[in-house]
Amino acid sequence: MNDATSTITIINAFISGAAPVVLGSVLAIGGGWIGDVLRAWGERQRELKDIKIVLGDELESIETIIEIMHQTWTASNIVYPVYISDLSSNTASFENLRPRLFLIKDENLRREISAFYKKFKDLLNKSEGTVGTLAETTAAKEEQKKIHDGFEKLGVEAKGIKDKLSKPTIS
Amino acid sequence: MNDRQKVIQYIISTLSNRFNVVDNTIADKKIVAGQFPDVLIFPKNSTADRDLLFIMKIENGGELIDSLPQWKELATAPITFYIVVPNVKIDDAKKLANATGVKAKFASYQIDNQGSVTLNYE
Repeated sequence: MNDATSTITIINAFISGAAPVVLGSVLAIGGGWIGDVLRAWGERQRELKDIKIVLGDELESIETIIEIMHQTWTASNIVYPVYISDLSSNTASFENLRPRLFLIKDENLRREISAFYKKFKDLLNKSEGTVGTLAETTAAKEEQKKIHDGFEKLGVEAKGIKDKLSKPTIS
Repeated sequence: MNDRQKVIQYIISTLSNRFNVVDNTIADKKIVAGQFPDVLIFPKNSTADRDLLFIMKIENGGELIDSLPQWKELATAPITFYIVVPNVKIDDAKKLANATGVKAKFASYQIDNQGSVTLNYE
């Protein structure tokens, strides 16, 4: 056996012994990476599902309170201050989830959600201390109607966003 | 009957057709935000705390500044708070509330020589 033959024999022996090991290592690393990616994707999907549920619940609660506010308004032409207080306690979910809203891929929907809460909180701030009046003047009645109409409009928006969030195609 | 009672009676007589008006200066007083407002106004046929619509503090001859701690407390309640003051004190009351961050609505009253009350809500 000459030198060349013996070298080939050695290489062959190495390949036949080491190749499965190398290939196994590559597959293990690749598989691990794919596993990590899939796990992260799964976690994000679960988180997105939670965001949709929690925000949807909060928006439904807002919609319900505004609907009751509207019923009492229709019956008495008074915006009950207690509903303003109830509505004020319905912004916590949005505040907590705000940094994770990027998980909603639909940029327009994200903008819509943020814009809704901005308007909602502005109207709440404006209403505190002005809602409810005993004055029988036209100006005072107009002011109350404006508050009621503002919330009624937001109630419709809340329903629209809630419906969009509940669609399975939203990701 | 002192001025406060006259104003309370006037409020009861003029608003009772629309609301359930309660004089909170007599027995079984209700506490709101740790204080005793002078008048509580509920919707008709209700005295449930949750339905409370308006609370009122009636000011008369005393210094407004003495009432400020009560105003501050009452203004924290999630209910529309009316500060009811004599006509001559309405500007001072507004300035004081504004300067101290008290969120309230105002009403001013006048009692003539015959003891008749006129009251204007803002």
